[in-house]
Amino acid sequence: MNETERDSQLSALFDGELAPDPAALVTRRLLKDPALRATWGRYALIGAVLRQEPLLQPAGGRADLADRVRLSVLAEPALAPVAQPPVFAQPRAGRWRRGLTGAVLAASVATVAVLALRWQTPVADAPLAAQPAPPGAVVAANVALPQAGNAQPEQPVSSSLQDAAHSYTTPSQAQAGGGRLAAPLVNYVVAHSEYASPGVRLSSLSAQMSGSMDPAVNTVEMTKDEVGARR
Amino acid sequence: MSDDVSDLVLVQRVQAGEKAAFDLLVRKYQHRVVKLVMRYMRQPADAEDVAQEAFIKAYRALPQFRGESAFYTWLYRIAINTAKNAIVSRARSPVEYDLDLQSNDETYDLQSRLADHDTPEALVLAEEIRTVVNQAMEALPEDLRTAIVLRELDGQSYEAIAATMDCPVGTVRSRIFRAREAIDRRLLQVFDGGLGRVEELA
Repeated sequence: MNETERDSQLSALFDGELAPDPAALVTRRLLKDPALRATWGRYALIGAVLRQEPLLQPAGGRADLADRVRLSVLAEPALAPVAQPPVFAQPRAGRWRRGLTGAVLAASVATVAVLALRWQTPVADAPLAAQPAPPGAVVAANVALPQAGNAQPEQPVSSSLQDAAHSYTTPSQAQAGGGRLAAPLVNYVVAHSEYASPGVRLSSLSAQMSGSMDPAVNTVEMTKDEVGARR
Repeated sequence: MSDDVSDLVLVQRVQAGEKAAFDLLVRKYQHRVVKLVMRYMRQPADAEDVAQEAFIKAYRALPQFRGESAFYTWLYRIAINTAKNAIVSRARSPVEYDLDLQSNDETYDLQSRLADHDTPEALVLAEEIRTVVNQAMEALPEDLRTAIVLRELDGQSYEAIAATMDCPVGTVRSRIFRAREAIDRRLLQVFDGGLGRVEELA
């Protein structure tokens, strides 16, 4: 493989557009070759300039961000064994199949939206107590938020990184099932929220992507016990 | 195909104990994460600290990453939650969004905040990098420029770009690579002929 083809594969790898087997092969080369790693870094830099992102450099006598993370990670103990490694998505389907998937996804979202609207619209003759509560009300009922002037003690902020990782980086089964959007939709919204205006970013959909529909709940880290108590 | 493939390959290497693979994920996403965190943090140095903390949390939590969402989506959540926790623990106010809304160009505000943190040398280098990349973009043939803009700015897949540009996926791959190669060549000239800090920036 000549240098141009090698770099071409690196570019495709950077974009996630190589099939798993070639991607694994190029990744092995990438990890061994400092020149390729530097190219990888410059590809990231080019993207950052085009998206008008901050260019991170050593400043004030300290190393750059990536180096600081690298040194911290080197000092970390070995990771625990992975019970279930991440799996690759199915091979690329034909366009008609992707279109069909998109249509089904769009129809599902529309159905959920219509059902949610109907849920929130009071039934004319039904007494309020008999009406189903909207999802937000269920959350509000289950979560006792500290109010201004309320004597409840403030929830402690966990300083343990390990606890924090368990608290929100791995959604529980309940989280994954209820109120969560489909993974492709989540990925789409996160990717596109980066380019949205600040006002749009604060939409409820973006907030849900960050798991923060209720800022008062999510601003403070939840410990394992707190998570359990809220289930 | 999405970012999942290359990221998942790297994630699997990290999970298998190869820490260097995590460095590639950091270098790929560090700019985006810092920009994301700067929505919440006033000081660039704080934003970098929070981004660093978020990456370390992500590393520690990688054994639980199951690939149900894209790696960046997962990292995005960690970064936002880390930023919110930092605001609480440091008792600082989040960025005033109404200020951002008054500005037509969010980047201007971002750059002005960065200016407080960067050294003059770093600012000169950053400005030179931006100038060179933008000039190289201007010099690209239209088809190459369109392809890399659709990829880097719009985040489109090669297949979507192929549909937009009415050409095969292989052509898209080639155009994006040629665009990057042309810009990278100009970038290397800056580093080699000027400040010579390739490794620091890569």
